[in-house]
Amino acid sequence: MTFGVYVSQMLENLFNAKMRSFLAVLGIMVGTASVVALVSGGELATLNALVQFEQLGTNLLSVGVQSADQGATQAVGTQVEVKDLETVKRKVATVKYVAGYTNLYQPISYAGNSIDGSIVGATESLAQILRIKMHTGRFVSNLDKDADYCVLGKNVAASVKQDGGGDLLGRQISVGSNIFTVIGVMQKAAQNPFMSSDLNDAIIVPLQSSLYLSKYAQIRNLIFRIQKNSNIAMAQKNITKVLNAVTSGKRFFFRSSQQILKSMDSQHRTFTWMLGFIGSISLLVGGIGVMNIMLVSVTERRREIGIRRAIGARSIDIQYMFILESIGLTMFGGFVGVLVGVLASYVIAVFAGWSFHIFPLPPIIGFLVSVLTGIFFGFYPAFKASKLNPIDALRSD
Amino acid sequence: MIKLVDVRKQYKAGEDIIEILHGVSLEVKEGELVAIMGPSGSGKSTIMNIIGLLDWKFSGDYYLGDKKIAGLYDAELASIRNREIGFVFQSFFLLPNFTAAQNVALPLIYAGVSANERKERALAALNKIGMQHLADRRPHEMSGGQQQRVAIARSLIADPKVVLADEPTGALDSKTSQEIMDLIKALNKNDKKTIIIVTHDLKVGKQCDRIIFVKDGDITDKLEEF
Repeated sequence: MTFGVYVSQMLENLFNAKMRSFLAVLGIMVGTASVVALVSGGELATLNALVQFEQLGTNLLSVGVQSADQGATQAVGTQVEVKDLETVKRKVATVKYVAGYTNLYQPISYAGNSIDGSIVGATESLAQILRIKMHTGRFVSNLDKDADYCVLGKNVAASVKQDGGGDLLGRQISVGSNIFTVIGVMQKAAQNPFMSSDLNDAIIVPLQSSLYLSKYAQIRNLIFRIQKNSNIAMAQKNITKVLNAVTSGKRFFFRSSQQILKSMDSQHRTFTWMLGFIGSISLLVGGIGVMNIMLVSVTERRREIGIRRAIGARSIDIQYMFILESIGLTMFGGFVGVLVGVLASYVIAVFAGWSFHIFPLPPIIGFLVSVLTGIFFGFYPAFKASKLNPIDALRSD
Repeated sequence: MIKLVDVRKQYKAGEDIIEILHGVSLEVKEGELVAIMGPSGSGKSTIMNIIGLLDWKFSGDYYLGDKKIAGLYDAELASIRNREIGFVFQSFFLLPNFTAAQNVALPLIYAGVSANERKERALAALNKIGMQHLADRRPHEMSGGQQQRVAIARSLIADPKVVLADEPTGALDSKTSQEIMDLIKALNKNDKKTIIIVTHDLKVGKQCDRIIFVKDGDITDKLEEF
């Protein structure tokens, strides 16, 4: 008996039991679709996060400044100061830009209405490093020194606008007990893991001004853009050396783009695996459905099995016949499931506002796994069918 | 052609071992038309199953042609059933979703015959028994007599030497029964098939060359009323 005959018999038998075949296919289809959709969705999320991140460039390095003695008060040691940033840049050749920033929280209000947001003290190099784009006006500049100027993040600008509308430049925002004049509004800033606060929810003031705003304000974070293709570990070492020379009692924690990319990647991989696992559960349920339906089919077709055995089918022929039917069902279910799954991941991408992309692996794996499901769950019913005694099989009604 | 020597068949029912054939010996010569008759439970169906290689768990010797049937693998048994034995059953046993031609061609699938040749030979076999016009009908679209004719065509398609018919007329009215008997006799006479019929019906038995009576798991010479 050739393979082609097995296949044509399989198609014939499945077609003859349309309703049953359809139900079996449905379970596998839903299972495969959920695996494909969830894994593709996870991959899309990763891709979009990475794309956003990579727009910043992969040669960034952030430094967290902490007191070496965790229990010490603020007064211990020497802080990083504005002039030290210039020193680092001058002494470490591979540093292209350096920006230090402060982060503080004080009540912000406009025209008597309070606004949610944090205050970031920054220099103009922050805009260069993070590639901040302006909606209107300009970013803070080194010439602003300690001027009472501020730049609004997108979300802050939106809440100010609610109270008035029109041009925001020149408006007065009160921060703590000071009044700041708006000199610019930023476009939506991409999420980035280098900043401890979201720039969209921040008011940016000149670094020097922020230091006067609060006695607790300190430069606790530095961001560097390193020259392209330079050794990051080397830069890290040199920066540490210079910083140790200008400060005391501080420890420096570095995070490079590569590190962050790596951890983002592994996080997302875990996430995708988990989604794949959840999807597999429904595929498992679909597989059990196939086994159920194949068992029913074996019981219903006992007489056919007997007839086939009597006229010359080997028990292995009977086993092939049923396994092939099970594979046929799951292959079809898997194929439709892949289409539905890819479509679903497209819908997910549209609703999440991600750019869509078809990943080859989830459909291939989804399809293969569904076929394997057919073999696995089809085996037992087929084995049972092949072991039927021909006389008993013929005698059954 | 067929020779059973001291064939015994036992099966276990719980603790007890029940013997349903107590050493049956019989011989059927090539080209013979033989009836096996006996009351229900006499063991005649068991003899038929053993001869048809559907039951291979017995003691004693069985020779089919010049082959001794003992210790064969499933594939070998299947191949002998496929090529050397044709089966005809009381309730026809056609596959319900298959057309007459497909049913007739079924044994050829397991003989590894190509699709075109299967179709050709099935139509020729139907033609021979005057059923070619029903080639595309499914079993439920045919009368009992027509179905049994298709089943006989199926039993002959692989050109076996032996045809085993288990109550071939049992589900048919007397007129149709006689038509089927005429067909079987013609196969025996013209095609030289060795045919064994298991039957209750003495009218059927009397048309055969010889009747083998079975009672309580033994062959008897005596004709008794059933």
